[in-house]
Amino acid sequence: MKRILVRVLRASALCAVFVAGLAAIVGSGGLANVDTAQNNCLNTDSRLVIMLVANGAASAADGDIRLAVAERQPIDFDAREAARPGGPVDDFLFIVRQDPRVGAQPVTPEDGRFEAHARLAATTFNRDNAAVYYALAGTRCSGQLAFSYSSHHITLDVIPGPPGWIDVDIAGKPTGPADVRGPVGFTAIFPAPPAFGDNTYQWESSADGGVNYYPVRSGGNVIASDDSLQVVGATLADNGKKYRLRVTNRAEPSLTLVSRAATLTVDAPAPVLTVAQLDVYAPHDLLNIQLQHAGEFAGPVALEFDAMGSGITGGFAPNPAPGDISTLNLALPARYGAGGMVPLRIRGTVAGTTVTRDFTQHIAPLFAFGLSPTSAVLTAARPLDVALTLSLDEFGPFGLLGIGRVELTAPDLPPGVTAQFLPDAAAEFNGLQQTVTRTMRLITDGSSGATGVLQVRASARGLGPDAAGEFAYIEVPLQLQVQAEVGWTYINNGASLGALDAQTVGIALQASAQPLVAWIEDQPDRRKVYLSRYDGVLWAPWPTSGAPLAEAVAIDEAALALANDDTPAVAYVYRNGLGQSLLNVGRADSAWTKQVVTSAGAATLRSPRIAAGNSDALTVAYIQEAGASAGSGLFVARKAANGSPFVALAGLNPDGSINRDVDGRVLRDTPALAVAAGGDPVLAWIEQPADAGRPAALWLRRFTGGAWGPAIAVPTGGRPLSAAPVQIAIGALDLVYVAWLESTPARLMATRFDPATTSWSPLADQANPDGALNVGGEPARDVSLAIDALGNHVVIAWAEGALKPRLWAKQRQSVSWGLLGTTIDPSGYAMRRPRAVVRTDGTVLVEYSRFRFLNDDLSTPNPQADIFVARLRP
Amino acid sequence: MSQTFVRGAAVVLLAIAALVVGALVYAVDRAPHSAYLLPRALLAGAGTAPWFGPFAASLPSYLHAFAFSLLTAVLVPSRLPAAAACCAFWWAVDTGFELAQHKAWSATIAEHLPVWFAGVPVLDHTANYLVRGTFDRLDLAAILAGCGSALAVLAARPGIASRTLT
Repeated sequence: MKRILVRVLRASALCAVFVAGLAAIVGSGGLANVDTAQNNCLNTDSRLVIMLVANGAASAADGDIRLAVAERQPIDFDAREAARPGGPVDDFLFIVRQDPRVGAQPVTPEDGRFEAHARLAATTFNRDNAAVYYALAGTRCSGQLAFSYSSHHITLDVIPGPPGWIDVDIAGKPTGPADVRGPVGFTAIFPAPPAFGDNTYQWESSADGGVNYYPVRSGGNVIASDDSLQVVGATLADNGKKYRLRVTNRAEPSLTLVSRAATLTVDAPAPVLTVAQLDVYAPHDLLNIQLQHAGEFAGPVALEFDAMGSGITGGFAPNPAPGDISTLNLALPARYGAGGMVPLRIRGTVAGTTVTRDFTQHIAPLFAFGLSPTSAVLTAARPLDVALTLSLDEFGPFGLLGIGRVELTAPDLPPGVTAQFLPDAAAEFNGLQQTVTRTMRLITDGSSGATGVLQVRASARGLGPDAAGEFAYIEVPLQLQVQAEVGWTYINNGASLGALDAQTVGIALQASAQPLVAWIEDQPDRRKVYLSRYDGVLWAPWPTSGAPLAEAVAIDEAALALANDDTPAVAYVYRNGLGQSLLNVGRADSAWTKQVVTSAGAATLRSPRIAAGNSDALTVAYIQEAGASAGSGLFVARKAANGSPFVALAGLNPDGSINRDVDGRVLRDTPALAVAAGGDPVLAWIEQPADAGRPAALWLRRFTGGAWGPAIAVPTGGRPLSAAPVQIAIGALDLVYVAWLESTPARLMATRFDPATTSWSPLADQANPDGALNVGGEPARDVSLAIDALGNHVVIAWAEGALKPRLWAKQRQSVSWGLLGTTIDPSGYAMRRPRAVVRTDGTVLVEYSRFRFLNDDLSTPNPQADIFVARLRP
Repeated sequence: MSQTFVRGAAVVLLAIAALVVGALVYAVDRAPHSAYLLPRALLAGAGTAPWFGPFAASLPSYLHAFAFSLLTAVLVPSRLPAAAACCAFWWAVDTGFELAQHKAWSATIAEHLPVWFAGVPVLDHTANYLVRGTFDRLDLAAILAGCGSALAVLAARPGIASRTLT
């Protein structure tokens, strides 16, 4: 460290000594010491005594001179500093001419000396008469310029020739002015040729090559004076103009002389050549390169193409006009079949000026691209698959050198349309694979329609020297009609993923608002419970493994709910090999997790219902049939959190059932379960009397405060009730909506219970005389009631008819019901078990089984059905 | 205090003394305002006492070459070749500046000086140095003598060939 420090100090000292040595040299040796304090600097207040003489005639100090001189006589001016207190003038001195017509002009340059000399070769009356000459000294003092004028000046009195007399320096005619040439924008100065006498001067110009001349007056970019003519900021419009000076004797106007004509040549700026870096293909052996040249030209552009040894041939059409877009057609040798980058050069010559523009042309590999079909209609019902075929021509030895990479894109997709390239958007060719196929899958969400041409682009480049270069591409048009989603629309293909025998279980909306459906595949010897999830593009198994929740010989029924954490939970009843009936709940995270709710032993479990409450609480309701003599009971179990066991909610009967012996009737039909905002379960169920002569009853009961509240009879009017499951849903303010079917006739009815007032409000469709919700004509069946999360949209869906199967949905708007679109599925196939769900934006989705029968003849064992989901946007 | 340091200090003092003498030439023998770097007060009596007589013209050149050769040499390794290099360096510099004052090319050189010289103290008088200065063959001889004298002093230092200043 010390060593380094010493070296640094030593180097610094050496530098200091060196600088000091140089300073000592420069600062010594008889130099003038300029010091403003000593008034050695000039300033405008200290007039110097500068002697100015003309033709050797000195004047007295401070005395002005009037010098009479005959025309044509030369005058020599000499100026020098005569005396100066405090030291010599430090900087410069020059002679200035004060022209009464033009102003002050330096006659001699500042030359750093203290003497100045100027010579007028020949005086002329017009130019020099009354001109004043003086000397001007200046100094740079402390970084600023200061001037001092001579204390006297010289005024010329030029004696003209006799009246009617013109003389020129060359007998007969004035010479000059000389031709002037410069670039666009320069100032051309044509000095007037010397002419003697009391004359008038008139500049003339010709724009037609000297055929016609017209007087020039100052204006525009022209300044005309007796001394000169200036064209300021010459343009190409001034190019080729000729200028001459007409001299006329003032006393004898007939006496006129005209100078020779001088030509102004304005050189054009260099042409601007722009070469677009185009990714050009089609066809491969003929590249079209567009080139634009701009700017102001003095003539046509001569364009040349330089292949730079690439072997490429081509050329331009001759002499394009300024601003034209020229096309360079290039023929490529076969060796560029694999694509590549080729340095090329273009030369443009304008008015003798040549501009060279180098550029690199990217050449795509030699490939072909096609798609099928070339026109299609895209709907939200299903994706549109377009087959893409890419082929790379064989070339090179053995045809094996075709290598390259192709990437597929569909730029400028219509709104709401997405494109997928399957299996991926890239394709690579090698020497052995000359053809690659891909699928472009177009999907629309149905939000808007469009009709037009979709350009599908295959961008290719060789894997050779252009591997890092830009792509060239081929675009193939696809006539595409995108249909906006109007009315009920299938969400792509069947949600049962190809299963032939499926029945609906339930539909729910995850937080992403994408639907999730549960369904049972009903094969002759096995039944399986599945979930399918729509990801916005396609239906896919959920969990992604595709494993069923349960698979057993006998799976009776199932129900779907979404837990608070968005995890689907399915309750299902199945019988094991011993004939025992069990109720399980499966949760589908990344895989299924199953939990036994209860097993019934010799009894039979059926009609499971599941609903989610706060946190991860799940509530399950089910019916246990103990036999014809013992009747059946409705049970409810609940678990507070994920992982905790299901615990039966305290029932009202010794066996823990909710409803037994409410009024001595026998429970036969499926319950409905919902969970209120506070987490309390609400049940509804139908009791069918053992005595057929008594009417059925519809009950509503709510678990609150740790115990079941009283059973409340739903006002059904005492009409017979269908065995179809009753539906309940809870809206805002804990309003309970109840929907059911009457049996004879099969009328769809609904009502609403306000727990605050314990009052009922019938939700009748006023459009129907009997207030039923179904359209009429065909018996209704399979009711599904749904309310959105905010309780704003109440939707009811049902199937109807045997001879003319239809699926309908209605939405309660204000106080009346409105039919949602037309029939949900106009296919005419039999449809059953709709499950409705409604988003907060009013979008309704209905899951249903569509059988492969044209009527409702479901008597055939194992009827084949797909799961469909229809959507209706608000 | 090492002997090396003492020897170095003696050389530095000798150089400073030479520079003082050189300043005296300007202070008493040269015309007023002739030395740019010297304080005006010092030049108050300039031209009044021709102390140095005929030597006044070239003595500054001699002293400059002599003094700065010594000052430079004490900063480089104390070996004879290094000392000779220092003397040769200052001979080249001083001779170059003296030759630059020759009328045959002094004005040309002055014209081609960088413009930014005008804004740097000392450098702003380079042009004046060239144009107003006087080329003198005797100055060339004085520079050579000054550098030779410095080399002789340095060579006479004990241990010149084997020691370094550090």
